[in-house]
Amino acid sequence: MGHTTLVKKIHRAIKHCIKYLIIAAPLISLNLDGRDFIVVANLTENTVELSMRDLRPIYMGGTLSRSIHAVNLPAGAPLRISFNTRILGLTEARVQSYWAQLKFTGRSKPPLELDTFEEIINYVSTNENTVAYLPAGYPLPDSVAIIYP
Amino acid sequence: MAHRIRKLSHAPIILALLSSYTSALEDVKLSGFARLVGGHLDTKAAEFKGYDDGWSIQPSSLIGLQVDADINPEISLTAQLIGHADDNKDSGIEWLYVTWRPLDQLTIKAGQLRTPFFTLSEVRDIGFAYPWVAPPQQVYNGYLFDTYDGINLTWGYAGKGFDASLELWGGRYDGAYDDGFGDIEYSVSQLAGAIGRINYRNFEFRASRYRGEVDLKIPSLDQFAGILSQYGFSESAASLNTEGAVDVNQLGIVYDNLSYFVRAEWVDITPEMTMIPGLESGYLSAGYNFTPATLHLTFANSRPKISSPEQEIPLGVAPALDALNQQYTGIFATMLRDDLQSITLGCRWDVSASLALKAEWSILKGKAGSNSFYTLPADDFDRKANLYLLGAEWNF
Repeated sequence: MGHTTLVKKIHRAIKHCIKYLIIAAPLISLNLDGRDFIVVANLTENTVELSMRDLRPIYMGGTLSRSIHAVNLPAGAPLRISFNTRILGLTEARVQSYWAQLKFTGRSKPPLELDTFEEIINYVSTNENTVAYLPAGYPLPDSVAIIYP
Repeated sequence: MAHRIRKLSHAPIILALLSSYTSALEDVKLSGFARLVGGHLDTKAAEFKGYDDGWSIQPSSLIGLQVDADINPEISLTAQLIGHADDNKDSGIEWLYVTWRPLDQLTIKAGQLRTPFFTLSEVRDIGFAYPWVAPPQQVYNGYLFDTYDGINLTWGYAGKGFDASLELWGGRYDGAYDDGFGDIEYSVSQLAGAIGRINYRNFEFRASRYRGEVDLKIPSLDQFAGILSQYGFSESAASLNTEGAVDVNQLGIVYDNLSYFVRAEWVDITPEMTMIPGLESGYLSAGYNFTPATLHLTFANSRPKISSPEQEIPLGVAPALDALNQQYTGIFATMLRDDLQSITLGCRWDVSASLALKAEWSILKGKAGSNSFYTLPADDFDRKANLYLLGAEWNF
């Protein structure tokens, strides 16, 4: 009787592990800890080819931000911190204080903020000349191209 | 006071514009900022920036609200109102302008705008935008006026790996300044400036040049110059001229990365008239990020440029001429001399994306006999003091 109970417990534990792996696998492959991301864009044929160094002016209110519109995750999102660190080379605090300067002097408006990856990819795929970052491996529609890495 | 009434008189115009376009507006956004700043100066012998030997929150605390209304993708209206805790500062409309972006590269703004003299001039009231509680007084001292009525054209250029802009602006200003003895009204016409800015990687370079024709309204000085002319002292009379051009030059650099920042700025103000003291000033600042805190150290200096009085009125010839000479040289003796060296150690702690707390300690070393940006200094005060500031900055 005791032996049967033990086998049942092990069986249940294995089922839990499999269930966890099924749920967690996509999360692992998407690197939701913010350590890996791709930058995607939906560009018209007339738009010049973008490189990694163009992303800073696009996300920081430079002249390119008038023709190519950036999309951000909300402040504090792990992927946004990763993007700020690797692409902008700035802390979130510095980005916020920089935008306070641009916003209250009428020089530029901060990028659009969307809460979920699904909202972001829907927005970018349906709006030309837009740029966003997403977890590496995120499924992309044909209208969107990876520009980084 | 007249200036305040003039500023508030814009309010009905913007409200009328906003209401008439309400149905056509694509988007209206309300945003704002606020700062609560407390300060203490460790001497009873003078005041500095409104701070004395007690703790006071009045001099720098304020709240600001901004309304941005898009009429269409190219045209928008902006109004920014500021309420100062200090009754001596003008509260009311700070910015009130229309923006037109006919091209991606070109932005045209017209209305009441903040004067973009130096790197932080336009955001001096928005403490969230910079690391200090108070930007270096030697540069951000209010020598020059905060707003102007006019136009601003900015042409942007996106190069390979860099972003550049050329900003041209012009207009006029009517206002008053306090010379320590009372308000002096003045006007600035033919005001024009050019600003070049380049952003390359984590660097920002800024170079600018401005010029304006200043007319100080000091009737008593004009009368005295008239008397000097009558006695034949034309050079002395000319040295009291209250009309002339003022030239301003500025260079600035900002570098920041994940670990640290460096900021430096140099400013030179040169008036044509000997009656207005010139000023050369600058600062060098460096900070290190211990995210979410930043520790920074700043060295700042200012050197006034004071003209000498003409040596035209003879002494010892007649008592009347001695009195005239004494009165003439006395005018130059009362001119503000703002020699000041300072070292500031500060800390900024970003509590959240919209709130920062700051603390800083400034060692002020002025020059004995000079004003050194102090107000009401006692005669025996050596112009050396410590200023302690604490601040909370909101951005919403």
